[in-house]
Amino acid sequence: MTQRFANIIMSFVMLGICAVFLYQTNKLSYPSNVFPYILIGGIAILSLIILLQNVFSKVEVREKFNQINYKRIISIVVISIIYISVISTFGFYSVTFIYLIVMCVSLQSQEANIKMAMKVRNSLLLSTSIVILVYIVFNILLKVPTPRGFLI
Amino acid sequence: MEQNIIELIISGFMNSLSPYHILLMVFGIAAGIVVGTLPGLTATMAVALLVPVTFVMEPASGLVMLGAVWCGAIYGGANAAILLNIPGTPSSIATTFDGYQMTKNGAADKALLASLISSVIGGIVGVVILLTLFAPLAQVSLKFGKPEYFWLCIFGLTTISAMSTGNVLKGLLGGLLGLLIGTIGLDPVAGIPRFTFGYRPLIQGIQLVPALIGFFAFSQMLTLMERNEKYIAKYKQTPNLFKSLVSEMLQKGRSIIIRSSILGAFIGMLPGAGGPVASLIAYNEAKRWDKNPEKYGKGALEGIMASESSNNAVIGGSLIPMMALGIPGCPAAAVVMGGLLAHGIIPGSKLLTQSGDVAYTFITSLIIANLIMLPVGYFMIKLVANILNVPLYFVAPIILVLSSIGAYALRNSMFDVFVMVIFGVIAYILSKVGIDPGPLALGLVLGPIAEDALGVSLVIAHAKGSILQIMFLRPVSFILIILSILSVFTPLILSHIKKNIGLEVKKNDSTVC
Repeated sequence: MTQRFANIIMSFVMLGICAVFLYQTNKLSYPSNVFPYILIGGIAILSLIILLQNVFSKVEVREKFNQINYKRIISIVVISIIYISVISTFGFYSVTFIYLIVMCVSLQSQEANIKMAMKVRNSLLLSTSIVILVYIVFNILLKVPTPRGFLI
Repeated sequence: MEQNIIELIISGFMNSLSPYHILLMVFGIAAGIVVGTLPGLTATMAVALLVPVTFVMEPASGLVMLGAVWCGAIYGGANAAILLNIPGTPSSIATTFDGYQMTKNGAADKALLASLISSVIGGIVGVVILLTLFAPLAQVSLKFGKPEYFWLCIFGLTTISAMSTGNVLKGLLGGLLGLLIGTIGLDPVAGIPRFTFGYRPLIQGIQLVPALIGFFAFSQMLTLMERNEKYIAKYKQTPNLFKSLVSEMLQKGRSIIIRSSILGAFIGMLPGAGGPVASLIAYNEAKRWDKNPEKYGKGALEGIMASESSNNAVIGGSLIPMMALGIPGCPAAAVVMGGLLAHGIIPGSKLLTQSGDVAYTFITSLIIANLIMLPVGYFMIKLVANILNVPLYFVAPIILVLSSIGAYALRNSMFDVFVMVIFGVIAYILSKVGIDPGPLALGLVLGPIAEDALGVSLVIAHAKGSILQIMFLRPVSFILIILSILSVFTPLILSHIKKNIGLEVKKNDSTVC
């Protein structure tokens, strides 16, 4: 994908956001609508300028989007969403322990020179020590609350 | 009276230097640095966590410890900003711009040490200003009404042009998007819910801390993991760094540190402005006055010096209205004020006559605490820098775990954790099209303050029948308007002059706009 194409898509998305917020702002009365109108106007103008600049530009810069490991990024986002979704059901520490093992093992998949058993052992060691450390620092020393579930 | 004040200052120093107080300060600074380094745990939280501990102490001792924790936490935010590109506290947003670049350039320890030295100097300058000028300067801060706050926010927003080298349009777009996100929730003037789309939790708006963690921590984690690199950067300790760095800093950035510290102390005086605004404005000013502004954002030592000296100077500044008038300049000052009140000490005009010994012990202890921060921080740098030797596949999941706690701890709300992840994904996608999280965060920080100030100013202007008089012609407003215009146009004019005299102007050719 070129930077130019990405800019054009971004401009359209921004204009779409403006349309949604404008629809909502029209339902508001003065003075609640003043600031949003100014911001929506500003975003729309800037988006249009960027759109026109890119549509009429002759410069084609191929961005290094292809080097991004999309599969890895999507899997991190999905696992993270699952992680935070189940925290309040099971409890922070139990879910964090499992999450750390899953993430560490999956992220080490690129390391061909490390054996699977070693990866699991490293992940187990790290997960256990991090969960214990987090419990000591946040629960015992700093008294920072963490989400509770039916486990810990 | 003058004699009395000098006696109080001397006695304050003597009290602060007692072994018990020194021990409390060492503990407070170390605890503050740890909390500040953890993303999402703010300096306010660090101070608040230790307020109950001070109830069993003498008032002066309790305040000495709170002051040390505060100094340590504000400085500690720089560690995560430099090593991971994640501001440990919102005050270190501007430190990420050059700090992380220095880490990537293999100069992590130089950046960490520069942030420590700058923080110490900034902190001391802020306290000296507090010590000598707090009575007259408190009167200056009283001249700031809502119109002046609005223009101060606009001046703060002009820093976007400093953040967006070669890509001002996208920077402005990010800033406006941040401001728009800041309008979600109750309207600060009329109290009407806006942009909630029928979803009740949004009525309270998007909380700043979870959004910032998302912008900087979660999106940064995704950025770190998008390529198959094993470490963030190669790290090798530089021998004899301290001496050479001090002379480099004295040579390059003496004026930057002094100017940024004074700016930080002044902005700290203004209730609601605080460390993030101070560091961004100081960064912008450092860049604007520099002969080579193009080096900023690419690992400039001066950027770190400006940001870190100003955010630590905010501490002294924010204590000026709190101690002189009973109006805290920032949330952490409000917590310290709570500590004072809990000990039966009432800030305000009678503070000096009724509890002068405690007040001056507290103020002078901040100078000692900053000096102690130098060896304590230096020792801790060696510990935290080792994070660069941990493989990314271990660092990334830990970042998410710590970010989740940080987002949750503020209001005990899982909604904030979801906000953190969603905003992290949004910031990651936007960074791919050239919109960095810096302007987004700046818009989100300044949005609610600016809108509140604009709304109230318009109501006042409507009542007085003159928008021109209220919004534009008040002396402080007028000065801020001029400064904002200069801030936006100076880089453009300088660039034009450089072009005219034939200097090569580097253009960021990776973007069309």
